[in-house]
Amino acid sequence: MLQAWLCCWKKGGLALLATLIWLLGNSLADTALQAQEKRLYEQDPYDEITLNDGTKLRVKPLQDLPKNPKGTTPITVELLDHPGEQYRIRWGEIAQIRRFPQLLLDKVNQLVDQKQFEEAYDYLIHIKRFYPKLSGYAEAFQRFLWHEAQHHLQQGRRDRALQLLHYLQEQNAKYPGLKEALGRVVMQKAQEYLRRKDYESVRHLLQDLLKRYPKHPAASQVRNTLEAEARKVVQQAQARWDQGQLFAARKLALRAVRIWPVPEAVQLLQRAQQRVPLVRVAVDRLARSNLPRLDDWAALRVARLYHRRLAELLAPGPSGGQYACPWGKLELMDLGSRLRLTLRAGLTWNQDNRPLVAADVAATLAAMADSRHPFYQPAWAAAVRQIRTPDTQTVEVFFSRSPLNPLALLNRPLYGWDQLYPPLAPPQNGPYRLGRQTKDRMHFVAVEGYFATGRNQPREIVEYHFARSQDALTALRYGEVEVWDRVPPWLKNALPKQGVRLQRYAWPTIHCLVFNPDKPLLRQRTFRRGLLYALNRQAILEYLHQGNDLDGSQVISAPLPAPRKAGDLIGYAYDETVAPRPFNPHLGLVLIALAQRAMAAREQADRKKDGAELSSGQSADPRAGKRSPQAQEPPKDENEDSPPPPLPKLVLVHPPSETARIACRRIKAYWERLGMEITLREADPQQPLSDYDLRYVELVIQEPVVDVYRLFGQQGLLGDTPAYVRLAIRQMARAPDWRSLGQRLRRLHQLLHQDVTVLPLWQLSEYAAVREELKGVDQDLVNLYQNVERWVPPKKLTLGPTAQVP
Amino acid sequence: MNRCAPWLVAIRLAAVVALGGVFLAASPAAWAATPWEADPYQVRCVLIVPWRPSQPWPAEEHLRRALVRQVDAVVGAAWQLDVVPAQGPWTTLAPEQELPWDQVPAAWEELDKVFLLGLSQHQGGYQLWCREVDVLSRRWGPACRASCRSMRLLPRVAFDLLVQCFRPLARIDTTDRKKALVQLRCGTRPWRDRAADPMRPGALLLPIVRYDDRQGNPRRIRAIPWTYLRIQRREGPLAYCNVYSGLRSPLSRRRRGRTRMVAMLVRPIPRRSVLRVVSNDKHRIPLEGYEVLAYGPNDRETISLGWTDHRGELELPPGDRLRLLLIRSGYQVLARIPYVPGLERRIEAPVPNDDQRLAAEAFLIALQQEVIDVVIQRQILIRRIERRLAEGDVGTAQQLLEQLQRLPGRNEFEARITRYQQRLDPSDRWLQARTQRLFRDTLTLVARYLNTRPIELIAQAVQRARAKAGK
Repeated sequence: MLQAWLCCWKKGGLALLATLIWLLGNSLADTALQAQEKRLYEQDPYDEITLNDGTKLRVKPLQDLPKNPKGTTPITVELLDHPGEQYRIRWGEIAQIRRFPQLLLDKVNQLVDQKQFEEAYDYLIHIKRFYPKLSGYAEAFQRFLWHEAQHHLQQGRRDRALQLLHYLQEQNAKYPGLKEALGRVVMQKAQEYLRRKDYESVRHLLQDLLKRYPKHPAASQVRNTLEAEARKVVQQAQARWDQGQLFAARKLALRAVRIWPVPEAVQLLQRAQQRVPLVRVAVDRLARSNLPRLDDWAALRVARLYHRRLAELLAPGPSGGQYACPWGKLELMDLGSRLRLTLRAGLTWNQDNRPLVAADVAATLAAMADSRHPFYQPAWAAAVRQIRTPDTQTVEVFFSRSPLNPLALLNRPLYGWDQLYPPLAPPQNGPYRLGRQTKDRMHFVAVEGYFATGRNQPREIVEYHFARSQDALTALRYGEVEVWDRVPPWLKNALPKQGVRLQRYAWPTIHCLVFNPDKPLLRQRTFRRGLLYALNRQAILEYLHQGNDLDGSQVISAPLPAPRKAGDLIGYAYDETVAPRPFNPHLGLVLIALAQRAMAAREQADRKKDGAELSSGQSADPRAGKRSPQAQEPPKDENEDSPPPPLPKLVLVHPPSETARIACRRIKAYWERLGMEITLREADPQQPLSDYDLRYVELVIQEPVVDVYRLFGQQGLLGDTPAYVRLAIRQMARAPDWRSLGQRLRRLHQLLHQDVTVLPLWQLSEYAAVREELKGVDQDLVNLYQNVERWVPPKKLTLGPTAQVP
Repeated sequence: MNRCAPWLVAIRLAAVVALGGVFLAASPAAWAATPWEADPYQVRCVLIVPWRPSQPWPAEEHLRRALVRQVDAVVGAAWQLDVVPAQGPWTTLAPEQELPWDQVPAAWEELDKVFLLGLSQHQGGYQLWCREVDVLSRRWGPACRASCRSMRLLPRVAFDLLVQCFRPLARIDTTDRKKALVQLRCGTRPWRDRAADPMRPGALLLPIVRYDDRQGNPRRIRAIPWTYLRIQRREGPLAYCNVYSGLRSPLSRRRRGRTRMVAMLVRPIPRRSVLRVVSNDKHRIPLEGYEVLAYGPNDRETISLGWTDHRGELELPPGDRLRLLLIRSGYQVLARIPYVPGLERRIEAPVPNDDQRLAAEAFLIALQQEVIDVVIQRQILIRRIERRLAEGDVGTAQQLLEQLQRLPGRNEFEARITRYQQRLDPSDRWLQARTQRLFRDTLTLVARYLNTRPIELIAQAVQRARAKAGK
């Protein structure tokens, strides 16, 4: 065996050896190739000695060079290519010694010349890191910046070039040619921006250039261009002013100021403000409907401008809210069994100047007691015995039993007796009417002859829509708006400390998800509970605050306002013993799967039943109607071990506001972790929807006793409510005293929590930011415009940085 | 669909067979005419002409003759009509006014029907109204109105009003819970114009019971509530009807003495009615928030009409055919009643007060959901403990076990159910009957799924693992 092997080896030995050599050779070649590919700074460091005859030696880094060498002084070197062998060279034979860092710098310059800027930058980084004190580095780096900037300019990339030149200027402002080059680039960029009418960017450029070179000739050139542009616009503004078009003149003057604050434009603006005192309000969403609804903050906000209510909410109180009647004197008499409203003299309706009389009020009050009328309020209807109008100015309501807080029931718009059948949009009897309206702006113009006009009341209020809250913040900071309504929680600490005050609304908004009652899966409370368990609501709430203080914002267990601290009056309907459902994704997933399986089994059973009925010719029993609760429980499934059906795809609709958008993205992320597919869609709160699964709503619940009926009562806002929830609401309306009302409200809370009638998320404290120049805004906010008649708009506009000449 | 018990099905089949036998025996071939179906209606038309009460109206004779001619042409021998002018208090009778029966002329007792036909001049034309009074049931029919411009058309319009107001009678002979066979008054004398005869399939009849004394005077006359007959098929003087009723046995034959059970034609009136839902106890409390649904006898779908208000009332829309109303609280159907739109202005429906049952339903549903959550959490925790034990992580397993043991258990749920059950009114048998099953089912659910054995087993496993780790 061994002999045979040896024989073979002899025969094939040479071949094998050749193969080995080839392999070895290849390996060495690879090594060499790798060495070639290595960048200089990646290789072992070495110094380069140039001898007098021009020979270049690569030696290991030299140590201890003589300080004052003579020509015969020898130095010992070790060649890089012959490691371990030392040679001695006389000093006189050496023409030049280049140390390794210098070699690197030379390489940088070489690469810059070759326009290999990326590689050169890597060398520079290495030098900066390992040889920070190397002389010549700064020059090399500046050279690199200059050449790269030039290169980008040649390529037409002015932004990048400008960036590099700025950096070079910061390194060495006196770099030869830099000032002129920067001027050229700034001019080119300015021309580009001017073509796009992006004056703000031009001003930024100019400001930057002036900061670097205060007397740069290009700066004055750009400034002249801007001034010329601004003056052109001012001329147009003046022409409009002369034609009496004040708002157009103001708009053009503001545009001129934004181009360049020429004094004529600023003066024109100030004159316009003095002539027509204006208040500008930044909002996250404009009201698309004038019908006030509890789920539409914007509509509720502007409703106060359009019309006044019979009784208006002022603040939370110990027995529900505190109310005042703008129309006259409202008195509760005879231990609460009689209510008398004495109207102020001379009240008229805005639209036709018809006198507003007791019959109008009585008709509205009667409609509230008529079960066929949309204004029907069961608590009011059950309490009212008689409504009388002894004269044209007085209305008396006699109660069969005293309602607990009758004024809360009167918190609704006042209609004329001839406007109730059918009741259309609330009649205009407020301080403002809608003027011009564009996609991102709404003008409210003061109504002449309004019964409660204030002495200094703004002649016009303009609401500006800001899709991004950061833009609204900038506008507030620059004085382009006086008020910012609904400051998002993550920006409340970013407001300017001076000149702006942040005011919290008395009631938070209640954020919930409302399900589509036409979707069978969502009708199942097991499924809804599963969705809720799968949401980490606390984490989302904290994410919305971005580390800021929650300040009363909290996760809730039912869609009712929770007390923000002990003894908070707003939380009288909230049962604090009911804890919000915790984040439990495992449980959520199982519940969702369970609900799906139950629904699939039921559909199968229905199909079987339909088939049986068809075959037997029987007709379905119309009495069946909806299923009984027992039938809703999962029936016995023959295929219990079969794989669960795929998780559903859901469409989540949210209002077009930034807070809702961010919250819904987080909700989507949590549910997608379970494997569900979620589609987000934006829609106005009052837009009728059909094909959706869940709707994100921001509710304004201020008086739960009244508002729960509007939300969960028959034909309430939140759709299909179980009969037992409606029963609890009816029982609440019949409560004889505050103690039992509290008990019944807490019972209602428990039912809403157990039934998951809506998916409660959190309550969010709401804020408005007001500039100091605007006087008269109430400290305790219920509605932004609650005392708009007492607002005093600034006589002189504060234009902020926009009006500052660089 | 509800399933019937076999014994109930058997009884129903027997009843149908028996009724079928009766129907067969009562076929037209075997019918012997009696005065009920053979004699014509004795009809009197009283003309009320208020504008000239003292003098005879010159056109009266013309109208009288024309009416008789019209009756002869359309109705034929089924009516024996005479037309007379109004006398005494009847001359000033208003359309909606009803006089008490003791003011009715004694001669009316010999009649079957009296038409009160009022005329008045209006804007150069005539306005007419007509009401029919049925002598047997002593019921006044609804007022019908019409107008015409010329004297030439007046008889035709007046006759149309008479036909429109006419409410024929039928005698209820044989009944089942769902079917009835009736003999039409004067059924053997068909109308000349068959199309004008109102007793055709689809017509609705209101059953009325008249209790007479020995002299044949009525002691009491009452309409059977919540019950209507609908003619399905007519064969000569016989009509086969379906019975729609909110009562269990509306047309029971077990009546003593001189009792006559008839059915009178009713027509929907194009006006709204108000349904008032009250509790069926002595307090008659208005029931608020009860849903009312409606469907036709042949409809597959129900329509929600709305919810009752704080007075327990709901306005019912007008319609042209029989509707069946479902009164519902939550998922519980409390009553199913037939309703002819507009026939009565106000309808009162006494139903059981369902509020307590609904509250109990809410409690039990919530509790069942809680049980489901606890069962799932138990399963999840047990699996997690098992996994930790398999990985040898006894500490975490112990923590999870404590979490598992903190979950509410069977005793807690049972105690809550018992406490709630004790709060319910034991004397309310209706409530007890409807909630007992709910409570029983929930207790079974709790006992079945909240068994403590799995927790004990996993606790033992953790104990063993701890002991092993301790060694």
